[in-house]
This record gives sequence, structure tokens and C-alpha cells, in this order.
Amino acid sequence: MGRILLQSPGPHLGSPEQTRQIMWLVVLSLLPASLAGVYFFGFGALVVLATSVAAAVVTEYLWIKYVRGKEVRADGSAVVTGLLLGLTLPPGISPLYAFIGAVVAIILGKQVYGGLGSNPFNPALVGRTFLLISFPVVMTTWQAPWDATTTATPLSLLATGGPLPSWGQLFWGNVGGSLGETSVLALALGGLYLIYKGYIDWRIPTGVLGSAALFSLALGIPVTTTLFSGGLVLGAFFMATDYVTSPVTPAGRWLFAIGIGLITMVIRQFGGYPEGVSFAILLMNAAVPLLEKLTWPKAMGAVQ
Amino acid sequence: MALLSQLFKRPAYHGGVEVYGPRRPLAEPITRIQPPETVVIPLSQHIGAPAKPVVEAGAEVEVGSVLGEPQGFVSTYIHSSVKGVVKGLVTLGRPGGGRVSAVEIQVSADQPERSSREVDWDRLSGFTPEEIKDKVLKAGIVGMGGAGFPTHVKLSPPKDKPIDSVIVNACECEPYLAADSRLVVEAAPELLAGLRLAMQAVGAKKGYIAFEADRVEGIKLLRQLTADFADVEVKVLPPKYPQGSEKHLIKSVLGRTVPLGALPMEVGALVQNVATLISIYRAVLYDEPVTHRVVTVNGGAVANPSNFLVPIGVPIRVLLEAAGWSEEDCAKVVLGGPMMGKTAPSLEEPVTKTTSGVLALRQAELGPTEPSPCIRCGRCLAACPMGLYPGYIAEAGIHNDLEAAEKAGAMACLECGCCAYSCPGNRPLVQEIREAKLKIRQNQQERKGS
Repeated sequence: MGRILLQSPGPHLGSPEQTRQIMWLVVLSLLPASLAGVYFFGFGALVVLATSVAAAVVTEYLWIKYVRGKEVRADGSAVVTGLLLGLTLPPGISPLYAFIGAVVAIILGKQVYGGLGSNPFNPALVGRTFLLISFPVVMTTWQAPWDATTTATPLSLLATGGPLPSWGQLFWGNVGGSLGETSVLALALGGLYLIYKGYIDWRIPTGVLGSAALFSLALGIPVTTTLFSGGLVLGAFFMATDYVTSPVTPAGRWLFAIGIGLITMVIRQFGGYPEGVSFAILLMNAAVPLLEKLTWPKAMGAVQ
Repeated sequence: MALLSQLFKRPAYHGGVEVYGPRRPLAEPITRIQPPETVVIPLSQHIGAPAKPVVEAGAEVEVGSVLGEPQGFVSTYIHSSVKGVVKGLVTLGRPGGGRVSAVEIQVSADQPERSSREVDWDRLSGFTPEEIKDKVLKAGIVGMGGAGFPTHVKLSPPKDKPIDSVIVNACECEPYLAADSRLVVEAAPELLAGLRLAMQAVGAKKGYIAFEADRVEGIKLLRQLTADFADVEVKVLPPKYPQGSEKHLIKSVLGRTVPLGALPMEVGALVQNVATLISIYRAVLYDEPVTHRVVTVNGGAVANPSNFLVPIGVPIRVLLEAAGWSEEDCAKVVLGGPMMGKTAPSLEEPVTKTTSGVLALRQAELGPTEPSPCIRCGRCLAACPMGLYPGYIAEAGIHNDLEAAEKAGAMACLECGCCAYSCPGNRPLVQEIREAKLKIRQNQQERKGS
């Protein structure tokens, strides 16, 4: 009797979508890019990814359990962070750096702010940026596909005026670069799937890629090179769309995405680094509260 | 092609959700429930002041005898739903909190048959607005969709707010519920007559009957019946929750936006529920008060989902048993729909004028309930039919930042539940916003007081 007459407020039907399910679907959508990385860069890439994911999960577990003293719920978010971080690392990097990056990503990028949902910056990019600034040489040593030799990335070739790979190579992914960023095909496969499922907002990738494309048109840079090289596609589909660190309002998302596309291009063209996607996303992460304030939704029937 | 054009049509309003759940039972006719030995009839089944009891223990009552009289304008009559003897006044807990007095009646063995009412079209036009409103009040009619606002008040807009359109709310947009949809099919002429009377009462030139597109049978029937009426139109709307919300219905049917904090009459509209209009017809032509209503009994723990015609005051236990429920399988009993309904405080809870449904839900239907942190996915914002950011309002409320909650539009919240239903973190957003609204209202009253 008492059991049935459970008193609780409505709605009495639970949400058909759950956080954990969303996280695992993101992991699934990153599989093509991960497999492409392993395919092009070999077993070493797999070790980097595995180390990064494992370090992220273990760090999160230990931190929540022993530092915050709370019960750990496997929501899958640490797996996403670890995997995203791994995908942004040079494929030939020592797993030790992947480990350090993942620990930094989880602790400094996420847990110090209170964990899932409270971090202002994309944790994976915090980890990556920490590594890039602390270990600039290993973070910019690129392995050639199917080869242990080092190579230049398309973006550094672009910066130095070297011979550029064909757009077919860029699309397929057999060029130098971070282990999960090179195959536009694999990334788009996963990203479009997330859009189809309604798990990410199409406005963000559209805004990032669209504004970068317009910027290159204006400067006379080949659009395919801009879009298909470096981390732009990975960033547009998987980093900029991170729920926690992007605006919730549709208009805010447009501004956020356009900002990322433009800052990326400014850094690529005028900055000291050949690539600027990570910095652009982190900068725009910081602008999220402002963007939301500017684009706050208006209630139906509110006075104009 | 129709589907394609539907797809690309700009929705009439922002937000709303598709709620998964059975839309049965529709095919089976409405069946009568016989009252048990006693019925308990609450003196407040409406918004406004409770009715004042006018019967004492020992009094003999018939179906339709007055048990309570209105106290003030926003209040109404309460009638007996059975033939029997008054046992006395009792106090009941209300779903969602509060207490109310009720009249307990010992039911006689011989109950009269409920008569069916043929529509007498010729007599309709003879009634003046004043006569209609008076008969509606005497019959104790309230909004039977769930809100329970006294209908005679709704039919009495001030002179400077003329009403040009009456909309029949045949949307019944919550899943599981099918009482109105079945009533439309079984009592379509009475419904149309009721609409005619409501239009007459407020001087409206145009009437609309608004359906969700999947209520095929009702749409077809009403299209046939209204073929000869130039001033009544059937409107087919996309099936989306909360399509039946007054403001969203007006927006969808008339394209008019009710300003925040204002009533539908502000834009010349009057919305009436199906059962309410049928009651108006019966009240005006036959002086028949609201003593019964149609209730859907549904849910995973119910073997035979049914629509019952129930005397007011019958405990829900009787309905659940009649529909073959399994008490063991049931995790929760809900009065009303699964989105906005309230959990039943007890199985002895009586059916009132506003009980549209009684649901016995299984644990599996309830889905996950354990909350996890907000991940700012924005689903609540995308789902909110009022265009608010529910997650923010709830958060502001938790932190007692009532100013921020109010500024973000807390008071515009309908508590429809679209946000909580969409939340992948299972956050109790409606509850949190409701609490914030309560505190804001208290503050406003204190400010007024000082």
C-alpha cells in the first residue's frame, strides 16, 4: 500500500535520454576517428589513446572517491575527455605525456571546479594546452602515416610554403598531424551521426567551419586546406559542441561558433603557432556567460 | 506530401516535446461505473473559494441535489452524484497538499438511470447570455480538463474585452488520456451544441474545434457534422505536448499570442474543454448539474485500459479494480495525465469534476529518476513551450536568488514538465521551479503587505 502511494511531483515519465547514454554515444561517434588514427599511425597510437582514457577514468574515480569523498557514478564523461585528449596528441608521443595530460585535464580542467557540469573550459583542451606549453617539442613532433619517420603537418607546410598534400589525402587522412584529427572522413562520419541523433547542435559545426571558410575565401587561402587540415573538423564537431562549455541558447551557439572559426584563422594566419583551434575554443569558452547573457531567450508573450 | 509540408512548416510556437506513451483506449465505448456503498464529494473541486455545505447528516439527497453553495463569484455549486443519505462532513487530504471538507453519502440501493440527451437544435438559440451563465453556475460547471476554473466566470469577460472566437480544446495532449477523445466520438452533437451555447454566451462569431492530428475518428466525425456550419471550423494541429495548453492552443489556432500574465480574453479568445462544453449543453437545456464525468483508467499496471462514466465522489480504487489493475505491478498511482497529474494520496481519493484520468504506472514506465548534475545540454531550453531557460530558473531558485529566477520568467512557467521530461540528468526541474515560484509569490505578498 505505502509503496504504491508513492508521492512525487510530475512529470511521472522519465526522460528517454540519459547523460550516460549521451556520453557513450559520443564515444561511439569518436570510434571512426580513433580507428583511422590507429590505421594510419599504428599500434603506438592505440597505446596513446588507451593510456589517455585509462588515466582520465582512474584520475576521476580517485578524485571523486578520495578527495571529494563522494560515491562515484560511471557517467562516461571521463572516457570522453580521455579519448578526446588522446585524439589531439601527436601519434608518436610517449604514453607518459598522454598520462600527464589526462591527469591535468581531469583535475585542473574539471574536478577543481566541482566536476561534471561545472567546468568553464573544455577539459581535454586544458590538458592538451598544458602539454603544448610545457613540452613544446614533443607536442609538435609529427609522425608520418604508415612510417616511423617524422613529417610536417599540412598547416606547417602552409605556413612555410612547402608542398601541400592533395585534398583527397586530407579528406582520407594520410597526412601528418594529431592522431585523431587527420581523417576528415572519419570525423565527419561521427559528427554527422551526432547531429542526426540530435545530440549536438548543427549550428556549432556549421558556424565554426562556415566562418573559417569565409575567412579563407576573403584571404585567398584554399578553402579545402583550411577546413580539412589541422584540428578544425575535430574541434568543430567534438570540442566546440561540448555541452558544458558552450552556450545553451541557439543564438549564443552561433556567435560562439563564429568566434571560434575566426579566432582559429587569426591564430593560423598571424599567430606564432601554425594551429589555433584549441586556443580559439578555450577563448570562446571563457565568453560563454557573456554570450548567453546577450542571447537570453524571451518568454512567449513577453512585452517587446 | 502532407507529411512533408508538415515537416517544413514553421511550428506555431517554440518548444514542446513528443511524449512517448500509449494513447489508448479509444476504440471501446465508455462504460458506466456503479457507485459503491459510500461516496465522498469534496466541497472544493474548483479554483476559488470552496462551496459552503448546505446539507446535514441524515438528509436524503437525489442525483443533482445541492450539497454546497458558492461563496463569492469565483466559486461554484456542488451536487450529489447519487441517491442516498448524507452521513456527514469529513476532511480529505488533497493531491499535492492541503485539506478540504467533503460530504460523505450513504448510497441507496436503487439508483436512477442516467438519461441520454438528444440534441434539440431549435431550442438552442432561445437562451440569452445571462440565462446561459446562470444555468452554468447553478450546474456547478468548472473547466473539466484539469484546471477547474469556474466556467461561469470564464463566460463573463468584462465589456472592454470582447471575445470573437471560442476554441474547443479536443487536444488531450498528454499520453495515456483518452476520455475527451472518446467523448468527442460518442457525444459529438452535444459537444457542438455546447460550443454553440458558449459562443452565444460571450457573443463570439467563430467557433473552432482543435484536434491533434492523430485523433482521426473525431476529426472525421466533426468535419461531417460541421459541414453545414459556416461559423464552426475543425482545426488539425500537430500532435505535440503541450498542444492543449490554453496559450499554445490559441497561438496554434488563431495565431495570437496571449501576453504574459494576461488571460485569453485579452486576445479575444475563449478556450473550453470537451467535457465542459457537453456539461454546458446539458445544464442549459435540461438543468442537469455536473454529477458524473468520464475518466480514463490506464497505465502499464492496468489490464483493460478503459473510459468510465463515473459518479463524482467514487473512490479511485473502484475504477482501478474495474479496469483490472495489478496492485503488485503498480509503482505509482497518478490522478490526471503523466506529465501534469498528481500522485494520489490514497486509493480512497474520490473522483472529482477535474479527474481526467487515473493511471496505475509500472516502475519501468516511470523511467530513471535519480538526478545527476546539469551538463548544460540545453534540452530544457529547447523544450520549454514558454521560451524560458528552465535549468537556470531552477538553479537560481535552489540558491534562493529569487530576483534572478523572477527576472528569468519563473512566473511564466506553466509547470508542464517538458523540461524535466527532456532532462538527461533527471533533474526535478518542475519541482524546483514550483518552489521558486512559491517563494516569489510569498515575497510579493509581503511587499504588498508592508
